[in-house]
Amino acid sequence: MSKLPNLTGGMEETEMIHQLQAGDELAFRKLVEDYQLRVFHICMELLHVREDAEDIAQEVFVEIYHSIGRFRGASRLSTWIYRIAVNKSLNHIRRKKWHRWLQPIENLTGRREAEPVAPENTLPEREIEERQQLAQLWHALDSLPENQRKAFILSRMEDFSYREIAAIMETTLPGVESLLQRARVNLQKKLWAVYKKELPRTKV
Amino acid sequence: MKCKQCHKELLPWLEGSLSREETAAVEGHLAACSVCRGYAEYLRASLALAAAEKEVAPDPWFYARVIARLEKESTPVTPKAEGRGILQPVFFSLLLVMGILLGIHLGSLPYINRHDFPYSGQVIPQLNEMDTEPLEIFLMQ
Repeated sequence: MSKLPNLTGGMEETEMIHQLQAGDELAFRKLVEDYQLRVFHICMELLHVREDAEDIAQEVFVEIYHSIGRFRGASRLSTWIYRIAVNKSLNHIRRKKWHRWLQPIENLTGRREAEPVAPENTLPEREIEERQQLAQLWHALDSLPENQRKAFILSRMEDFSYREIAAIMETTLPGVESLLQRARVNLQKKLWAVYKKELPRTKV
Repeated sequence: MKCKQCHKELLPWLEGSLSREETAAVEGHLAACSVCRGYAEYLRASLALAAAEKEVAPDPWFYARVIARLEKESTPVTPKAEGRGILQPVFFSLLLVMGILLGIHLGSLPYINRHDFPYSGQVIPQLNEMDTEPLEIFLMQ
């Protein structure tokens, strides 16, 4: 299964779906190669940790492999794939929160060690600042309500059109516009609060 | 334009989705207000850093890893590994129930002990005047 030649040439979506449903391994390989980058980036935007993003992106394709037989074409194949990526990433976040809650107990029972802290003091100052700034943005984004976060990431970070976002999130165009509007207002408020705290320090 | 209004417009301004008049109003305010200008720069830099994350590519062996996962899934799962996921919540639930039962037991202890106090049977009758009074009254009579 892993020793496969490279695929060349384009395939129509419907034809590709039929081939995937027939268990064509070449079609599956093409699907993975075509979508892996965008799926990985969606996971990365939502999870912010490379290892987690890769793990969940792989899970997305495993899920596609298993459930392509049930795909009836109610939406575009790409929409369906991105929806799986978003949902799997959000499920991973929920699972992680649950594990974080259990971690003190797991450490007591000796099942897991506490995660090692990255040696930040070995990095150049500029990189530390950038990391902190990015962490502030992720923290602000992560504290948005789930639907606003999804809409903002798909729109601002992944450049999906409103129509595509509506299809991925199974909502309407005005729904997406409203979510994005609220996401921008809330995100701006949260980032202003962070910036305001650092203001006296930077002004001195 | 006030600072608060300007902050609301900053993200759409950075996205380039404001009308010409709105853009002019925001830029006019930014030219006059150093705090808002600094904040706008902070937002722009944060979003640029996030956009730079998109340049990170997945593992070059991504397809091979997906296939390896599919192959691993097709191998039968050992009962030990399968049961581990269930055992942990069961263990913690049992621990919780035991804790509640212990609490109930400890809570009921002082009530039982009150009756077993060693001096209660000896001291209280001597101090109880109601028990001796009938004899005194008898002698006086």
